[in-house]
Amino acid sequence: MPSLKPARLLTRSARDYHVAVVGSGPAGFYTSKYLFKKAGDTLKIDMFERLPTPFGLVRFGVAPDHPEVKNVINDFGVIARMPSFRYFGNIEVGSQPSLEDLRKLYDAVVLCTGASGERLLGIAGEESFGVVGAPAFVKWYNGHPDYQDLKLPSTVHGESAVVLGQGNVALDVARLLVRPPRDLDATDMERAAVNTIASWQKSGLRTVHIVGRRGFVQAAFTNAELRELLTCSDEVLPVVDPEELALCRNEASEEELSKSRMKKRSVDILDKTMAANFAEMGSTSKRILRVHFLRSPQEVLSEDGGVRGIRLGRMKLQGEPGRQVAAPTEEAALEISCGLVVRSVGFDITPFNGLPLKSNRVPHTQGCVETSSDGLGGLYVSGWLKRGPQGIIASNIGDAQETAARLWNDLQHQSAKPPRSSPDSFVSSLPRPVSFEDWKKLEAEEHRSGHEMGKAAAKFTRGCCEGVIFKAQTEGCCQGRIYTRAAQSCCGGRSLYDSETHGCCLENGAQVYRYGSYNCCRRPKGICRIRPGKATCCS
Amino acid sequence: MLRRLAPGIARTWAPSTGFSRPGLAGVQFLARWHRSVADENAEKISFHFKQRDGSRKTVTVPSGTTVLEAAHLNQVDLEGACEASLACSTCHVILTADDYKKYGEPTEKEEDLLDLAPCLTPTSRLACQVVVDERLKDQEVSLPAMTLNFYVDGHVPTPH
Repeated sequence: MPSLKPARLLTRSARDYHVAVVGSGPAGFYTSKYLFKKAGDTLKIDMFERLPTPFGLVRFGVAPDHPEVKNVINDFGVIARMPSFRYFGNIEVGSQPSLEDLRKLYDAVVLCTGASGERLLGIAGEESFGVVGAPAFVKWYNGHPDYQDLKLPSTVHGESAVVLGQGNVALDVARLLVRPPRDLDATDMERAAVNTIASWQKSGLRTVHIVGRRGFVQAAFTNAELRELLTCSDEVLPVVDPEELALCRNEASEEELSKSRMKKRSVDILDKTMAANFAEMGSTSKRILRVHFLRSPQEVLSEDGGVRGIRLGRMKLQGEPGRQVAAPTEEAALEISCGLVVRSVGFDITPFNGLPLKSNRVPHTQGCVETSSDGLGGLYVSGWLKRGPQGIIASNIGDAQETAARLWNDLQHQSAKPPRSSPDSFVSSLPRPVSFEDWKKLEAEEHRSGHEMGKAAAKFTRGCCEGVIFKAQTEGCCQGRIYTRAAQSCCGGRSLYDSETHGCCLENGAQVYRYGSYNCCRRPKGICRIRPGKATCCS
Repeated sequence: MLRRLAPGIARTWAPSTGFSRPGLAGVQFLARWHRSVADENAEKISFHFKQRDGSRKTVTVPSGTTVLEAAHLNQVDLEGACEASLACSTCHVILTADDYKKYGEPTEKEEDLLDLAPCLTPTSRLACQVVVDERLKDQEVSLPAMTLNFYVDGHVPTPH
């Protein structure tokens, strides 16, 4: 006999709704916030996060010496503590449960899983040891459990490191490489990373180059971060070649400059101080931050597979104001001897099991991927997964408002449909989820143990594998099995394999293949068997 | 309760109360109790927010409260992601030309953040840095029309 619900005469909606949000970064929390604003009491939200800890890039992307930027987690904490909101950490949507499982149980599912891949340069030598992507490097020093075993050189050849790219992430990386380690250790930066940077500096790391292929008017950094290069430490001297600055001021750039308040304000920082510092570069004992413009990497130079230098071509600006591109010139290239190259040219969307992807973006309309069909809850996206991997925390506000409005509107148009059965029994069968209260205990412990060490916090970098804690530095979790990273790897998050003898091919799903007998190809996509007498089976 | 902090502390922060009040139409996004340099016995100042839909909301707060706090105390829709620590631009508001002059030039740090605020005007300020006092009495503070992603609040998307 169906239970009789009391007639709801005075509420706006005919029924209650239950929405699943996947991902606990700014996109997930802002979308939840604005959904609650629209829906009030008629909405319940369950949030799922792959890691035990919430907040995504607020926790793992923001520079450790920018703690105020992370204050937004207090706002997120308010959402998390609402009675109609539940947080389930340590649950990987996509493997267990699947996206379809969720869509069967919830009126709508919003994916806010961001972008964990990275863009490559496509230059020779890029695969050399000592070349790393900023997404991985930042997560390494920020204590992300998946990146604690990032392999880095023990000393930095040539006493120099090169950061490719000129967004704020590039400036963060450069600044953290030259700041005094005692300053870094007082933050919540992973101590092992602080020690690595300290030993690099001790063994001679003196100069960090920040290289951009266009001019300063086109560069993506913003003034607060640019100014911070000047103020971050007495031990650091930021410089820029005044002649190179002049090269940046072609006619089209002057026009762009005249229209941009931000860029006009940047001229003083570059011209007055950093250009003036250039003369001291040869005689100073400080660590140097050198910003290069109109330089583009042509090749990473290596020896025995390890990076020894980088060749940077001279570029010129070409095109209409607002659309100028960097074009190569015949001028002599600049070779910088270096032992670490950090590629900071952007994140990339990683495919999500069950999600359509078209030219690296999820096709959507106002955040809607698919409205309810075949009895499945509607599918929505928010954040980087929706807009592309660009923007700051606040960029998610308008975006989340759009998705929330669209989602809520769609649900109202389906209010005639009978409510689903509650997802509560599914949720109570989840394997050892981490609740928000659990997280608050973890957070308190991170602060407590951090303070004992003289740090703002010591992050919990161990992972949780089917309820068992493992050391992320040396171990991994592959579909519930803990493995030792030195000997094995986990392909596509599900297949354990011996990394000495086998590889993992991600071109066509996740396939394990034996070296020597098989290849992993772009064309044909996936693995193929090498024919006898042939060197490769890729075309 | 608004309590006096030691002078010189520019940073305000908000311990959150946390709970929505069930049964109300829409969720009340908590009155955030910021601590600031306001004195409980200070003069009460009334001024007006011009909201994104054009409507005007009159608020009354003790002199010494910041415009951001005044917004949060009165359910005016203004984000303050970094909680008044000069690390974001989400509390961007627009003053009248007269008021902007009365309050003087923002600091360089605030200007750096205003660089990033969409719909920036010559009289824009960050609400967390503008302290309500005599100068703002009966004046109007406007919320900018658009958020960072050019999504207009109040817009109802048409499903298809």
